[in-house]
Amino acid sequence: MLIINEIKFNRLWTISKYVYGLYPIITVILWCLIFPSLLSNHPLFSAGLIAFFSNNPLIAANLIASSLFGILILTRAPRLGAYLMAALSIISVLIEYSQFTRSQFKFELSNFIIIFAYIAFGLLTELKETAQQQ
Amino acid sequence: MMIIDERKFNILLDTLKYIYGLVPIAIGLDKFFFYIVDWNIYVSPLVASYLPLIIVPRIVPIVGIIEIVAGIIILSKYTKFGAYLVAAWLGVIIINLFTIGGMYDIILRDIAILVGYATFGFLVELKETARQ
Repeated sequence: MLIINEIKFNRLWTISKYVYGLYPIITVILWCLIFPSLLSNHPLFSAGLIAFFSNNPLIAANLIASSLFGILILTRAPRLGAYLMAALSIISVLIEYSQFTRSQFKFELSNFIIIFAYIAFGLLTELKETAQQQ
Repeated sequence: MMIIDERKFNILLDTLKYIYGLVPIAIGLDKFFFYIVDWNIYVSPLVASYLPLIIVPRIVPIVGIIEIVAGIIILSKYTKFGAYLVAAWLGVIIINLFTIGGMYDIILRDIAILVGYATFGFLVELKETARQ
């Protein structure tokens, strides 16, 4: 067992909760609803994504699911939301890998890091939930 | 003060250490090979205009070296410093991307990754100040 500073731990956890909860929501809002053409200046990526979006309802489901998981993180089930987001990100990486060209590997790599960030947040929440007070 | 499971905490830190250490090294190495992407498109003309002329054509490899060194620092015993270094470096990259404009999807991802590295640095700090 390890005795740690509760105030610092809670501060860290709260910041992570808001960032990782808001990240999928903001991404979906910005990407899909408000200004899709302003978000990215990569014509190839935009065109590919729009075409993929219109041809594949799975992407729409993916975007809706990620906002719901973001809401879960912000509300009553942060751990479950984090693990679900990690799982969804893994699926997204696989879809991106099968759909996009080599030039999109950067996005897959950043998604890969984000997967671990969500798993870390889930484990952090688990540690918080199972912690004992001293 | 709170008491947490040391084994789980160590597994979390060790996993993050290797992932967060190896990824900047991989990205840094790609600055020399351009396998993932042509990194030149992410160099802001505004930022380049403030740099000495001799550096501008070599800016991508220089960035690569910084990222490789930061990754190695994370994998060494100075993990906390390395994590904060990468977080700060991502801050610089985000500012650079803002000056290009239009790359808001990448900026959002980089913000999430920056928080990941900062969180990792804080976790290492928590462990260093923890008692058995």
